[in-house]
Amino acid sequence: MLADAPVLLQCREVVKHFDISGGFLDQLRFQAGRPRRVRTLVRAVNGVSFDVRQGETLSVVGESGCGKSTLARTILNLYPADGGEIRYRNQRIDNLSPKAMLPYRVKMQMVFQDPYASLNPRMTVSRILEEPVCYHHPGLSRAEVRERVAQVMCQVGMDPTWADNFPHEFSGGQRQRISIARALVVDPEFIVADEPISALDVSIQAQILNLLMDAQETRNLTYLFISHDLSVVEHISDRVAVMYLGSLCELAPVEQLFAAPRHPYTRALLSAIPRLGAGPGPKDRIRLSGELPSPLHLPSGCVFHGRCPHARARCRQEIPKPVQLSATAQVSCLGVEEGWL
Amino acid sequence: MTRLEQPIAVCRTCCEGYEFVNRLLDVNNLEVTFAKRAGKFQAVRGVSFSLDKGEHLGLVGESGAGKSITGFSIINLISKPGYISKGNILFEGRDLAKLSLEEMRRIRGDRIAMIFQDPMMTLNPVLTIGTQMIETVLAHRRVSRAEARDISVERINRVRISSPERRLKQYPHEFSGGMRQRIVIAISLLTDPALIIADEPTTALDVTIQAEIMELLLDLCTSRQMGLVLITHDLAVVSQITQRIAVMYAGLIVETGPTAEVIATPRHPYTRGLINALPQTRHGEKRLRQIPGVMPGLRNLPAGCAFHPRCEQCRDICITTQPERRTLACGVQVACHLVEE
Amino acid sequence: MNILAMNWRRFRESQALYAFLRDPVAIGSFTILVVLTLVSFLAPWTAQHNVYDTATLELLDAHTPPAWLDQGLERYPLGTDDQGRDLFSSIIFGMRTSLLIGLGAVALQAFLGICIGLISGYTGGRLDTLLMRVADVQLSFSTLMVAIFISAIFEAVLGVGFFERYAVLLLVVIIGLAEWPQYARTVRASVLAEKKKEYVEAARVIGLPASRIMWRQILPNALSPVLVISTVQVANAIMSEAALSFLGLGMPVTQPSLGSLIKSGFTYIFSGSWWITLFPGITLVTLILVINLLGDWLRDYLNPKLYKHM
Repeated sequence: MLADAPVLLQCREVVKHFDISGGFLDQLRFQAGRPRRVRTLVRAVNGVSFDVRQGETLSVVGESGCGKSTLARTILNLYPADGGEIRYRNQRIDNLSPKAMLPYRVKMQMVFQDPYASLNPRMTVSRILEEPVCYHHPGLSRAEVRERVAQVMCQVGMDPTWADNFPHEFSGGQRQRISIARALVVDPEFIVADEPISALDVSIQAQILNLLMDAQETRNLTYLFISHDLSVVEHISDRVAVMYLGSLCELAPVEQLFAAPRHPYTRALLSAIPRLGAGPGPKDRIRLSGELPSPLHLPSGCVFHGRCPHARARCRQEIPKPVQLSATAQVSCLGVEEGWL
Repeated sequence: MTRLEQPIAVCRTCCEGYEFVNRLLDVNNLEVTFAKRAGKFQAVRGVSFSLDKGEHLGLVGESGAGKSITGFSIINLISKPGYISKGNILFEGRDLAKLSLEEMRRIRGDRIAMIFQDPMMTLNPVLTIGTQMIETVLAHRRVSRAEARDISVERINRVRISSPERRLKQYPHEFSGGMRQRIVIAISLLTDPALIIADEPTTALDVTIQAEIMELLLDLCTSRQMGLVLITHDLAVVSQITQRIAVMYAGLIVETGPTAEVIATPRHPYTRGLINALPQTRHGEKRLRQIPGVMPGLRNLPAGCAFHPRCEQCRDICITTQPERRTLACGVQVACHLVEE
Repeated sequence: MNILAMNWRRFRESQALYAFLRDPVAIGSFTILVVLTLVSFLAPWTAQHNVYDTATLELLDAHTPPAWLDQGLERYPLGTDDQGRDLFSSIIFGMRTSLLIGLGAVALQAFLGICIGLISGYTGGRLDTLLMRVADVQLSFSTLMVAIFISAIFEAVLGVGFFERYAVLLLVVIIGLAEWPQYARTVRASVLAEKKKEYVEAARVIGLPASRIMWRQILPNALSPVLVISTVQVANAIMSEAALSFLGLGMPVTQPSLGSLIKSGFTYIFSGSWWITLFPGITLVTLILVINLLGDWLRDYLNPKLYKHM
């Protein structure tokens, strides 16, 4: 079903770097007696390519600092991409002006991680939810807007009579419901969810995950789900993409990835998940040597080679190209490419 | 080295069917009250648990359940306006709830060590690791600076950090999050404590690092016969590390017993709900089994069982009467009216 | 009606009101400030003499000491100044002028500072650098020096007569222009903090234009430090006005302000007419003290570290 669904979003070699070297004077360095301008770049996303198909949930997992949130924000054009192409329904969107982007703002929405920071504390719930509708549909009457907001509030499990309250009067789970309602109220088809449940308690996490899955079913939504919690990802996703230091290691359907991971990093990551009821004692956990390198100084070749138990000489020099394993799976590893892994 | 007070060995067979050979910590009917503007309320409402020498106990619950406050009250770290209003905390034969600040200070960091979620709670950013460790040793032991240094080096080795001599000269910001938490563990080991209280020690860390830290903590506690109170919201982590588990809800322990038993057959509806809500508990269905509603605020707890508004099996007696904790044959204690003897 | 009732309930249950009612200093300062403000703005009714009406002046009554002294007259409770104006009435009218200038100048400062700080903080980059360097340069001069400089230019360009006629307005402009960098920097700092929060990103995902995000999303959240410095700045502006008037660059003698009253009495302080300087001086100190005390309370209240355990 997945393989023949139309492609909704295409990322080709997306690159995002942040310049953290400050102003001109901060960039000046004296090297060998001469002033030179030195820039410090955080290489957050380095040449990531993948497709999102309509109706699927594609999860992006990885440890903190791997660039998954940056990737999400680059896709939504919150950060301008420094390279590559992002296409939505085959239309390029990464180079659009804010005004030309407006039609896509209704199609693509985002749910944020922090239920406390993602709602404006000075606005009532009704203003938070009405603003996007009023802005994108100026022709609607006040009653129509209210009607639409009330409908979405019901759908996310909020009583519409609470609309005149401020966000701080709600619990974390309810705020996340408001945040989801704000994304849904413009009737989008694609939602980027950036760690939407990681700030919530376990019993509330289940509620929000169910809400997201219900919304997907009733509205035929496509999700790009960013998370570091692998067991959540295993449950909610159709396909999973694993990122490490700004690069995409592996992308595969969820059963395939969890049953037979190909990339050495994916294997290490999966073996570290704490399993309920596994009991104490040694497990067959794959231990990674060394520390995560800084995105300021990326390793040469494959970004994982310094910690990879299988790394060979070629891994140190050559950046692996994604190998297409099937229509829906790809892996970037020289070992897989050459067949010794 | 120096004279250490030996823990008083209490040999007795508990009438509750659980054999305590060497009791380390005994918390009896602990109540912590907060006196705030809106009136007094209890964050911990009569919690009792005990810990043997070298035993690992997991204190599990959602935010606001009172698990951290319980942990803090053991070392009397509750800040105003909170105070211990009832109960006692017997540690090595002394009641910690009645000690003076000075006596408490001597025990804290010596016989009992605490590990926080944020390593920077323990580490001073402007001092080197060496200074901080040596000062800690000197504060609790009558040794020379050189000896204190040797102890520090040995402890850094113990937490598996390479080149300890060099590490002593570094500042906290030069370490990554995982390394900092290791340093904090090394500091907590300086005085060979009998009990370690770890409050969400790996919540801020990535899965691979979490696995390493947990493994380290488990090895250290097992090899040195240290007691461990692990406070966390993560059932999976608890199930891997601890022998016994205590599930807290709204300031009370609702279920406690051997970890494997509680995880495999949870008896309290809340424990069951919590385990069922985890995505990794497979039911073969897409929707997660969520617990409806949210935990009530401690200021306006419902009458009877605090869980009854969210409980699917709620009966009349649950609404009126608070259930007593009863011990079952398998060693599990449950506070629920519905559990059969 | 319902919303009004709800807001009233929110206000009554608010932390601010609670904290305020528990602080006697804050209540005292607030009461004094309200009384002083009411009395001065109702000057035509509260003062016995209209000091702007030269026809009512009795030049012969000049230098009358306060009423409780030997030569004092019942008509002049605090005595008269060198032109025979009733000092009590002059202080009331003068306080009105001083408060007007203070509030006006702060409104101008706030307007300039908020606009510049908001744009600077939100857009960042070169514009930010430029605006902040301008602010730095201005801050490196003393405020009074800048004010003297600007008022000298105004007097030279517009002529003394024009300056005297529009003195209040011009002083507002002078003091307003002299102190905007304080606001701009405060606003910019809190805009920089707010800009990183996810609700701003959410607004961008909706597609709202930058100006709307700045004014309607960020600004309301960046205003609490502005509130704190506003109180202190009102006090500062009143002091600046007094200082300028004292130096002869502010209000003309015919239009009393607290500063110009102090100045007019200062000449006679050694010839025995101490009251002409003392009473306006006391009023000035009281006014500034209560405003600063209120500002202190507001700052303490808005600093979450200090009130979180209440």
